[in-house]
Amino acid sequence: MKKAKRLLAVVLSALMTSTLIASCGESGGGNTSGNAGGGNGADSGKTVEIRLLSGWTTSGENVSPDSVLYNKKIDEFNAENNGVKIINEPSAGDDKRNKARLDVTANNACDIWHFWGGSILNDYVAEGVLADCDAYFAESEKVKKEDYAQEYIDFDVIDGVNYGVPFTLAVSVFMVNKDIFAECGLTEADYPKTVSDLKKVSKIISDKGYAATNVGSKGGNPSHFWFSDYVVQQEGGKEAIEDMLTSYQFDTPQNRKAMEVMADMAASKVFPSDTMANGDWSPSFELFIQGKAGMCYTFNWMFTQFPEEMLDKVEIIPVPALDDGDISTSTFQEGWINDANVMLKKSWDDPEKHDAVIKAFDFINWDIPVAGAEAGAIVSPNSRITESIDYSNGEFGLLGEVMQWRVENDITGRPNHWANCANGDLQAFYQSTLDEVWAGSISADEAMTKIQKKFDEEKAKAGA
Amino acid sequence: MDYLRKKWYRSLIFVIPALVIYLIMVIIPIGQAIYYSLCDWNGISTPTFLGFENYITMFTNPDFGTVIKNTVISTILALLIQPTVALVFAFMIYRCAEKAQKVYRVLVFLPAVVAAASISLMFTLLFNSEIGPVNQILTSLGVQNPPNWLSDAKIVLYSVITPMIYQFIGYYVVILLAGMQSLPEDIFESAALDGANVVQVFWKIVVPTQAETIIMCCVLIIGGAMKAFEHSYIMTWGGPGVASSFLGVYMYNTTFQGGKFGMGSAISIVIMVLAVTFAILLKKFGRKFEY
Repeated sequence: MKKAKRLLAVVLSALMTSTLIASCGESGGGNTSGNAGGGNGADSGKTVEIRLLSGWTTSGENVSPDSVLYNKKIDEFNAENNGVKIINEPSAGDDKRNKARLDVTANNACDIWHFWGGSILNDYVAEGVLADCDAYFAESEKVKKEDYAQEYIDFDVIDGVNYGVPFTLAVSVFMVNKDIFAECGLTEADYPKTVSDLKKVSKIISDKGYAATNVGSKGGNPSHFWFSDYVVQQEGGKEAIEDMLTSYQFDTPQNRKAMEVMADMAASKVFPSDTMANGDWSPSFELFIQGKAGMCYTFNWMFTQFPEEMLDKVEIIPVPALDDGDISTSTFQEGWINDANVMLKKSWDDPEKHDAVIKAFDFINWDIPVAGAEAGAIVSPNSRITESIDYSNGEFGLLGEVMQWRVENDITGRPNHWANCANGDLQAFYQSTLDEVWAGSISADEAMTKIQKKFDEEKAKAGA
Repeated sequence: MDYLRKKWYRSLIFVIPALVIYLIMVIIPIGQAIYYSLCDWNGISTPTFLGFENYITMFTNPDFGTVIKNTVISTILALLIQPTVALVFAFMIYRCAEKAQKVYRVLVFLPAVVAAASISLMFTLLFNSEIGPVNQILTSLGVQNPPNWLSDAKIVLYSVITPMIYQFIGYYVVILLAGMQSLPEDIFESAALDGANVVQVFWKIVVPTQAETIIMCCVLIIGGAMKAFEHSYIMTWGGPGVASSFLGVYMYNTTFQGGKFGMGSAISIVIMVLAVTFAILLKKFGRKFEY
């Protein structure tokens, strides 16, 4: 009996150990993007699974209506049973960036990504992770390159190769709350046209206990767009931003002047008093829609959260211009291509997945943006999609108003600094420094010196 | 004993599964982190060996100094406040009737089981200068220009430390209460017969007998402070700048926001070394107070 017990114990231990070792070993298969039917691609009657990295999460806090819509579209696509099954692997916000990096490191990256475009792709391009999207355009029957303005395509071109299909156009808006203005004794004539006007009006509004604007700064949002807005009003400002990617030159006269204006605005109570608590997209927008801020600056990804009943209370106006600005703010809006869809080179080159990747990529480059644009969740950079939508039919709420205003005033977009920082470290540092300027912890000069020093360090590392 | 010595290899068989798990989950990752900390690596590229360059860059960066200072301040404040308040609370609860003890124990432990993210969001709203109740109360009390709790670089650190300390006091109350409940009743009865009052019982019996438990709480507090992340990240992202960053937030921002996995690994090694060093020192120092 004693012997049997010992034997049993030894056998059990050996089993536990071998199970543990075996289970650890099983995951070494690398890319889990599977061919569910074990078959030969999308057209052979077998179902090919295509993994999608997106930010379209339907769980957790602040689930956006567009995420719900896109997931519904994915379910519909999968229900069609057309030989391709899209597995959505969503990660909200910045977590998407982390997931992409970690998945690539673990050799477990998704086949197609709904990601950001521009310099954020640099690291992946350098390691040969992403596929050439011009090859996709050549093979796709649904999505055409000529439907996108060349300047939008150029945003994702790195070393002469196009790595992305533009997905969303960032569209900004600046608007006033007419009720708060009236309560403060301000009329339409007082809507600020210049920075001087803005400072005057801000004093009156903040003296009444409201925040003058909702422009806080947490992680550089939405402040970095606001800052870019004041750079592109100056002659050479747009070029200074675009050159930054290769020149690593941040300390330009245009940036310096805009930074001084920002510090002056912070001191003049143009921004909320607690810029961190009221920074980032949702908290800053919430401050305005709760009637606690007199003016609002935000972007189209917040529009679906704008209460319809508030539409009559707001008036869209151009961003207050620099007192001596060269380019009128009534001719442009801050905002460019915000994100892009990219493909994994390994999946594109895999003959068993190739056709399925095209089908799935068509879906996220056409069906999804069509659904998003029709629902007013995005503004598509695809001219065929945008031209097919009637923004004046009264069904698009704030977006409809903004798009009409854009057309009436012949508004064009402008690039921003964030997308033209050469890497993620520079982006994070630049945005964190804006937080400090907004909070009044450092001066404009200190901010410029600090950011340029960081740019110089990165330039030296890059050997640029 | 002889039997065990002769048959030691049999014991080894039982230990192997745990050892394998420990090796895979702890030892190998630490080894990898040490290696990556000596490399230039963005998480995608092939790591390039740099030697100690990451450490040199880190220690010469003034932001790192601020982050270390913040971490030390939060650790000291947590060490001063959490065990002290927890000990007093635990003693108060210990002196209650059994039913009341259960109720109070649940009440004080409640914040510790709530997600740190929720507590952080709650405090973000409380401290919001525009819409938060804290400043509304201060204004109604006649305070002119109440502080910007989360934007003023001079005070934001303390605004972030407040929920960190508040949330986990209950956790230490429960640990200390369990320690007190393990004491024999007759100690307190003898003290009462000798005419000791509540304060004397607290200082002469509770504090000395709970010294070991307090030291254990302190070790846990140090470990927690070294890896502090959620409150700072959710409330301020460690900002403005690095004004409210702790080592954990700094590591996260460097690694994931900045895409510098090599440098991030170096910071994680510093966190590990500091946590282990403090814990060893405290353990040695604590032996003097063992009952």
